[in-house]
Amino acid sequence: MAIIEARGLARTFKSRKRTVEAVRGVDLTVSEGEIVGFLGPNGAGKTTTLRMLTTLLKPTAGMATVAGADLLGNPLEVRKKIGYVPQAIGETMGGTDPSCLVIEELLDQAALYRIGGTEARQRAERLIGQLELTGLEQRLVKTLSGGQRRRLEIALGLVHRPPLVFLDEPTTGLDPQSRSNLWEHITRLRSDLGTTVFLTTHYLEEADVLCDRVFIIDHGVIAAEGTPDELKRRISGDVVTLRVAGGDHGATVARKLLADHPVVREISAADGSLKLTVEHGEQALPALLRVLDAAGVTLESINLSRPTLDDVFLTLTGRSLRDDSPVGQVTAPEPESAAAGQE
Amino acid sequence: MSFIRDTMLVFRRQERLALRQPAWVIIGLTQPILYLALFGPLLKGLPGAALGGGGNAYRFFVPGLLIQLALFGSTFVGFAIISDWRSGVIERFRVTPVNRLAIMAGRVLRDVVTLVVQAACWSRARTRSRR
Repeated sequence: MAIIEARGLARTFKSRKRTVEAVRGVDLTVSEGEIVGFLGPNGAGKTTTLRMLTTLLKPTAGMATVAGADLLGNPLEVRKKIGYVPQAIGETMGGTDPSCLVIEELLDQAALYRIGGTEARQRAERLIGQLELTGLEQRLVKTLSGGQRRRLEIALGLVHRPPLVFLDEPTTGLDPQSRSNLWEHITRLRSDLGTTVFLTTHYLEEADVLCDRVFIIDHGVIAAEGTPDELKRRISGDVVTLRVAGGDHGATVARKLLADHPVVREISAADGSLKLTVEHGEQALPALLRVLDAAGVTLESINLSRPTLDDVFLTLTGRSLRDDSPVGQVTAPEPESAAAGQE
Repeated sequence: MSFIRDTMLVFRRQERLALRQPAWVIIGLTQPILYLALFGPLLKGLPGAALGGGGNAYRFFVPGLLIQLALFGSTFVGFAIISDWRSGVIERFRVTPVNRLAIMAGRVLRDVVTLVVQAACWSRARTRSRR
């Protein structure tokens, strides 16, 4: 069953004489229990779409059903059923008051959803345990570290056990260890509570590790949609780099041998090495090796690299995702290695 | 009714936050007395009758100061909302089913309570000074 169903969702901002089309007609369908990622550079319209789906912003066009309620007709029902963790950077911060105690924020948040007394206290306690905030209950929010504060913000979005949670760049600004910790928490949300998670990110490897399905958004429209593997396979094949013994001559011989092989889509030679674009690299590799072996060509090295979501993004939009996200550069590890580690 | 419930909820949160800053509590309580003690003597020679005070300058000075405090107070409600807006707290409240008007009403109520307490301090100070 679809928990989010959006059709032609659009939002235009008008300032003086200029109009900015932040989101121009987004169609989304998200099923219950999915972890879905919204991937795009800064300014692509990720947050605007999220703010529309969480009733914070009225769409200028389009319609949506979120958690079984009509977004425009019954925003109150939508609010009761969703959790929202805002971006921790930019216009507005993550939503915690620096001079509040951790436990107070959790209890207040529960009270906003009409949960009070022992029930609220039990839920707060459980969340504190789950998100590793134990011992910090009586600390002021401003004394928390970045990672602790982010976890508190996520806990606030979960107090009322919503069937659907929106996380806006949940791991931006966290160190690599806190990030992978948070990924675990997010995965557990689904496995333990069956929560549907909708998150935005501009970290490619995050979408790769975490999401069942990815929407790539650019300039306010959805450029592609699919599982991370599907996207990568569809757009660019795997790249096999072979280094042949015997320098340029060897490479030319090998090139002739492999050029007509059915699995090879593209082939190019440079500096005594061959670069092949193939589909299903791990299956194509033995066949390629057999051909070379039969002809007596000796290989010095072989390398198979899977396309990353960055390649996908490049193919789709003609520019690299990271070019456009200076904020993300700080802690972003090399996407290649992350993808390879997962495979 | 949800409006009243939510207003009280926001009020209690704001009150708790305000009481956590003892400096502001002390300033809030002593401010009226300071005003009276410091400015009061200056009013002694004023022709209160001309201003409708019936001979006693405090009769217009005290309500005047109260109004001034109330105006200041409402400005501070706005300031508090700006800082909460920046930290995303307002946004966070707006995603919950809380009554929208209550988000503001709760804050205003807190300042009303502060003002009432200050006014009470004043009337005590005034009755003392009369004796």
